[in-house]
Amino acid sequence: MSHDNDTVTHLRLDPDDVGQQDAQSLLEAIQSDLRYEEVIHGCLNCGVCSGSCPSHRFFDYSPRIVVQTVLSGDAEAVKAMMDEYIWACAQCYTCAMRCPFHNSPGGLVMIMREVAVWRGMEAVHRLLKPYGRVLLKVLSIGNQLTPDMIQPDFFPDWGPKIPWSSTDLAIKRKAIPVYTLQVTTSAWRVSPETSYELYSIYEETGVFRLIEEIDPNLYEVVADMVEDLRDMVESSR
Amino acid sequence: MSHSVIVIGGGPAGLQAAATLGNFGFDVTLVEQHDYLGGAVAKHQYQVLMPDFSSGPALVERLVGSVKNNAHVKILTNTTVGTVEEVGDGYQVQLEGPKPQQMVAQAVVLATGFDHFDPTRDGKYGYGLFPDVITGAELEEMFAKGPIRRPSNGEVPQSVAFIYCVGSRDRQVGNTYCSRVCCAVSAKQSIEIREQLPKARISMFYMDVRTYGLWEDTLYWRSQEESGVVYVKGRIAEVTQKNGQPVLKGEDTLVRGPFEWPFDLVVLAAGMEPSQGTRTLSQKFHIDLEPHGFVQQAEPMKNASLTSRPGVFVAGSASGPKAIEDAIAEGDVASLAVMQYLKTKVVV
Repeated sequence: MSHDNDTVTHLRLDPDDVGQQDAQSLLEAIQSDLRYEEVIHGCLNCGVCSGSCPSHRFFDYSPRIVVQTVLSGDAEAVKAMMDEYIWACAQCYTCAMRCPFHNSPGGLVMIMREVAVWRGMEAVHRLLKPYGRVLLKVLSIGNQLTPDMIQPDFFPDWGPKIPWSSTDLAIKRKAIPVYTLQVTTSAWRVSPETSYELYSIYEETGVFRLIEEIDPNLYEVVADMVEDLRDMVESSR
Repeated sequence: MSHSVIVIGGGPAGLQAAATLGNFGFDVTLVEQHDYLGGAVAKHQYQVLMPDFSSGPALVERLVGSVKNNAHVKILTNTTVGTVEEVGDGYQVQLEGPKPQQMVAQAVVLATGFDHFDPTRDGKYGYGLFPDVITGAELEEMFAKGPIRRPSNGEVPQSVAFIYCVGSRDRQVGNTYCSRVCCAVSAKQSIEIREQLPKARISMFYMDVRTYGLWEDTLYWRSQEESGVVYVKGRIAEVTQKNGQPVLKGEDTLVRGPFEWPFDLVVLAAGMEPSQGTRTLSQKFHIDLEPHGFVQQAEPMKNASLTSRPGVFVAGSASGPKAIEDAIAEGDVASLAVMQYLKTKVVV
């Protein structure tokens, strides 16, 4: 696949493409990603990636099959894979550490997932639903996981001892001798100015527009949050 | 006037070159860093050689005899090359060893061979960690010493696995080339193991099986058809240990999917790398290396032994992985090139 800048007509991160789910255009979006040439070199079906893969051991998922399907150029098969198959990857990147070609099947999966998100594929709504809390945190303060999210209700597979770690959060965090970590609603102290800048980035890169397109309800929540924070920051300047 | 030629390296290629050049009447100095001649064949005491199951000790005996009984060949073991300077009609070479000396040679043959890939550099195989994970060279040493036993407990192995392409065809370790002989050598070794262990399970884990040319049916097919060796397409992802047994983890990419499979003995088909001697001497003689670090053959379509510098020739695995028979052939190829080169000089 040629990556001559003149011939790349497809911008992967273009919110105008939301909803564009033609199989060929999805494949082109994957192949024209800047990282594509770094994550895929060649593949001789040796199986080191799948042999290393914790998901392959327990699910119908093989990083080798992902790589081979993308290399095959079968756009419909790739699209079908983006619906559910690739979401079994745990992003541990053991495959990338071991592939004799220096491929990164995990990196390829990441590109495919991003394309699936940017195109608003149905699978994204379905599969990312459990990540609603994470998404809100990322959007509001840039953190993925915060101490107050670690609650037994959200982790049904917790053992008997771990729930202890979700109690008395404030005191436990105080015990960490780093001032910026003595918080519970964010992973570290995030100033309003930081969120303010974060929102500018989300706006400039089209993230907010994307959310507006694919999840109007979420966007309403986010828009209110952004407006409040902007008012607060600007009035305090 | 008699010409002086230095042959560096006393493995099959160097021995053959020294003997042939001596037979041509040149004054040959054969330089070997170790205290023995015969290269890897002697070092690992190869008993049975790929591809024809001929005797390793007999080969070493014949090759060493051909230089020892040659009045034109002076043998310097325990000797290394110090400084090298280009002088009028050749190279002035400082030889360091029990008898340090300086000599001028009109031609030099580099037969500096290869080093086996050291599998401790690729941690996923557990080599050095689990006693029952050994290299192919160590298996050869085992054949030389006696019957095959598990290093961990001295018991007879009931199952043996070969892992192909260790240190070869792998960007992760920096070697993207094929070491050419390990597939066929592993097949040979599996046939030998079967002779000792009629009931053992013997499995070969491969990405491709590259038993070139005439080795296909004589080694690859034979190991399956006569020795009941099983081939599994899947490169091993990692070796762990459970209940004192190495466990191979991987994917059977053609038939059975993911597996975790215990074996009593695991043999790593460790590939070939440019030897330390090849690296050092290529710098001393200012000759070009090809991108994998072996000596660049300047005009392989003309003569396999030509390097980027006139008067410096290469033979054997210094210029890339190859079988013993090919290394010996190249000893003669280099001798021919030296003769042609020096003859031209005499005319001038």
